Amino acid sequence: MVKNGLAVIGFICIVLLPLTVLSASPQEDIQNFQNYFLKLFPGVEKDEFGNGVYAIDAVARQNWIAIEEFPPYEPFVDEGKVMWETPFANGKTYASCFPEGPAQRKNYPRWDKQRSMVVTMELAINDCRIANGEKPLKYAKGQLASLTAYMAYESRGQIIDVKIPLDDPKALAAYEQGKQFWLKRMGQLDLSCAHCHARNAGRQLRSDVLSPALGHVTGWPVYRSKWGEMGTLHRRFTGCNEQLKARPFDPQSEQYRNLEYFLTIMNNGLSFNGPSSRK
Amino acid sequence: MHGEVPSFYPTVAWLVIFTILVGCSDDTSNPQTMANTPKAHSTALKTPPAIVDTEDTKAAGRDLAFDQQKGNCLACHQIDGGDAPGNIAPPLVGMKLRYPNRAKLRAQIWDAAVANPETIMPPFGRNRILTEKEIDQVVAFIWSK
Ligand code: HEC
Repeated sequence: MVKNGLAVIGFICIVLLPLTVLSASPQEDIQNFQNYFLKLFPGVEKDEFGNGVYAIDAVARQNWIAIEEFPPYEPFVDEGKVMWETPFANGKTYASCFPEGPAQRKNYPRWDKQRSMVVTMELAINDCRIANGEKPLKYAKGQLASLTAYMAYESRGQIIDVKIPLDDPKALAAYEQGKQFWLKRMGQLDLSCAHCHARNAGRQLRSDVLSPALGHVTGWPVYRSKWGEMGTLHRRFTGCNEQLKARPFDPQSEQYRNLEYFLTIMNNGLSFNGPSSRK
Repeated sequence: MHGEVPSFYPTVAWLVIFTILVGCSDDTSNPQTMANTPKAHSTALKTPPAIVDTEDTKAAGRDLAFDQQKGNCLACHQIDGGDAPGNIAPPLVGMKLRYPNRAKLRAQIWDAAVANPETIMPPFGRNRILTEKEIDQVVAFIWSK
């Protein structure tokens, strides 16, 4: 590998210098990550990246705008609202866990010092259910996606501002793990998330234009025509892992929660705009 | 890494030797160089049999190259005759000119990271995405482009 050092350094300099330098602070990571995409796609406003591939693919964008006129996620938002308002068997509602109301997106993911783990909105919802004697919901799709669709809808416009608390080094460690996961080659195809969604963002993988990772976490859950239903962010992680012929982790596994933590921090400053539709 | 697939080096070595001895000119469709004739086998120890890419071999290679679950070369490369190619990597044209040494083309498909550790080309041989035979078929097809 030593003899190939130059090639490695060349790649690092061009593409992902900040992310591969371990000592870079998260603040530097954010700047370098965002600047990379802003330079790669000049003319695309930062917040526009939240629309995924439709921010950079004019043709696909036309179809998408037409679809958004009667958003396919709307019935699921309605279902989620009913869930939010329907009392559990014990008479309480979700509001007993989320007194601020359903507009919770800005609070997640967050580092929970007591539990020493990243808590996502999906996890907090199931915690609430369990605390109230209800069964947890499945994490990839179904009712949980409907409830989070409603909550995301109510949260639209909130600005992402995920913090790494300085008083707990384990929070930074979780961030680092998420970052390393994102940069690591995996699966039989031996590719990292960064290879497709940073280095080749905007290029075409067969007929798919690869979306930039800036914007990857803003719009969930998503109604995907290919799925014919809603899915959560971790469902998509699973899909991309499988595409690499890598064994996927479970939705809400530590790996995916840390990945979400890292990716959401990389998206700090963008607005939450879920739920969304994708082809 | 090297210990994983011992069949690689013999194969490459064989191809290199073959290339030196026989050359890699595009006369592979010439029936006189048919590898499977008994004569070719009997002299195999001294002179390795010439590789002949039959139409069947190339067709099998094309199917593998276009199959999304197999080679899926089209995900990244444009190939004449393939629908909806990606544009992540260079079009596969003029392959005999770009790879006069066919063994190099095979090595690139087998594990592109050997030549370039930062490659994004999947290591079809090293990670056994394709079998050795399938790789031979894909090489036959791609080399004809
Ligand atoms: C082989 C290339 C490839 C790799 C590697 C890859 N993906 Fe993807 N990913 C895709 C394609 C294709 C899509 C669908 C088109 C698009 O939105 O980019 C996609 C979509 C996504 C989306 C949805 C974007 C949206 O706006 O709807 C997310 C999130 C995502 N990938 C995350 C990841 C993560 C995390 C990894 C690493 C585990 C990863 N991807 C690895 C090809 C890849």
